Amino acid sequence: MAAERKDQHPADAWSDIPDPLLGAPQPSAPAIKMPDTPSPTRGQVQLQRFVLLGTTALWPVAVLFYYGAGWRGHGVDFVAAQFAIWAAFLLFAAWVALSAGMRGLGRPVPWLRIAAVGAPLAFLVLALFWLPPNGKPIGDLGPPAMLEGCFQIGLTVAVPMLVFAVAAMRRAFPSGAGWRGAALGAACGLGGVVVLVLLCGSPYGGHIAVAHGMPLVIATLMGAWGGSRVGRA
Amino acid sequence: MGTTPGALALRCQILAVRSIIGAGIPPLNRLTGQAQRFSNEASEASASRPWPAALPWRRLRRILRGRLAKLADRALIWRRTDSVRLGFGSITWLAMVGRPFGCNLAREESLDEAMNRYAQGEQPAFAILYRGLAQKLRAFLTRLTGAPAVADDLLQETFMRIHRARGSFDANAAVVPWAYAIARNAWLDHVRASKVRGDTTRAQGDVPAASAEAPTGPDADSEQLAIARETAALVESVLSRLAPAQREAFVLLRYEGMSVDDAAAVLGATPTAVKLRAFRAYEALRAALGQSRAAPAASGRASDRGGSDGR
Repeated sequence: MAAERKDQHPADAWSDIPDPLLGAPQPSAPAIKMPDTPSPTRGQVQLQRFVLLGTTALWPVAVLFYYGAGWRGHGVDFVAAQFAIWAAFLLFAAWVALSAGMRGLGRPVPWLRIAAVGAPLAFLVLALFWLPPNGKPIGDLGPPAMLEGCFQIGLTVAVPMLVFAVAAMRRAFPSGAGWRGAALGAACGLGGVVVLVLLCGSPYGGHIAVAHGMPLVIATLMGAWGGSRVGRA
Repeated sequence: MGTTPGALALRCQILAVRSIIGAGIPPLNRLTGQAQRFSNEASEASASRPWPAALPWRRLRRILRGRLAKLADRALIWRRTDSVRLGFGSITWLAMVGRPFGCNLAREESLDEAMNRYAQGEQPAFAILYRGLAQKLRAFLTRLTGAPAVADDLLQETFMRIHRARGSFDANAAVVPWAYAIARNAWLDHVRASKVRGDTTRAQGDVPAASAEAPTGPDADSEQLAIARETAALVESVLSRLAPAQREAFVLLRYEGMSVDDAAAVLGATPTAVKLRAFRAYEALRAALGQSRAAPAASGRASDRGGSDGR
């Protein structure tokens, strides 16, 4: 029964709804000239993407070096595990958002949702329940100056990354533009998370959730907006 | 006894080589004169002979290849992706394998190629693309908007967007769903702009004096035509009242014949959501059609009853 349903096209059962255009005189489409305005060819777009996405990838590295890179002294295992998880999630989100998919219309929407919704949710859950070895209670936000500093660094990494990435993918999302933009935003927000994992040694769960997680959420929302505005073909 | 053109050409070559080896380099006019004479003889011989026997092998191969390519272009029944190259020494032959395909698929493949060339900057490919896509997109937009004039405007907007976004078209992508997605974006923008302006551009019954599967044969009487027109107008008006998400899903599945997965890719939604939206649209349309069929029957029964009561 289920196999039958899967094989059957839904429209097979809808033949009782007539086509309003069938049988009507179909005038030929109006002739139009090729547009005069110049538009970038595939080669130009690829070069543009190479430069802009390259800048996107290099930006967090530059910020990391500016603030002083390197593994933090204590809890190296915790840092390494967090770094690996978020870097992998970043790569997944970026791949899902940027790849053209089988039909050239992007990856399926459920994948995009996993990247766009799953990344912030997974981060918040892990940040609240998987604390560093000297971790403090969840509700404790820690010193406000530290909170503000991490929030700023997170945004400093994520926002320019997102701007470069969206500029690279201008008019490249014919469908699901909002979701693809959101996935791209999540990837950029995870760029901020990865940098903060390496820089920040705060043991407060609340600090990690708010100061590290908020840039990720903001970048995802900004990506959804930018994708549907700039990325939509 | 006639000499074959191949033998004549061979004689010509032997003579030219002998004259070069034996007597040094002869004057150019003598050599070209001899070659010309033999060439004339060859062409006369080939003209007097039936076609295939006199052809040199290499030329025959070229002709065969050309004819095969022409046949494939005309018949459009095989997919280039299903061909394999078989090597015999230095010669490679394109062998066609696999199944025969419908003309539409082959046309779409040639459209994909045209779009690829256009994306690479080849301007003349635009004309091929327009010829192949315009009618489809126009029908799609007319079904969505319900107004052919608006559909024409949106068609132009769609091709403008295709032109602007051509560089982002993936080399392995299919142009038809890609173009549908862009046309749908143009329509959605139009709907949003209309909402902001507060106008309702989807004019009721604006579709050309249509006939839903109108009987046009000699048996078609005026009553059938009138019913078909009425049905078309009803479908049109119910479509216009549907939510855009339901309307586009139904149009893609029912009228454009897309698979659920393709429609989901075009609409940027999950296949389940597309099926659900289209089914809701179908229910609304069916209910409206059922009411419209029930109303005349009921009025007919009432008039019959009224008539019998009066008697």
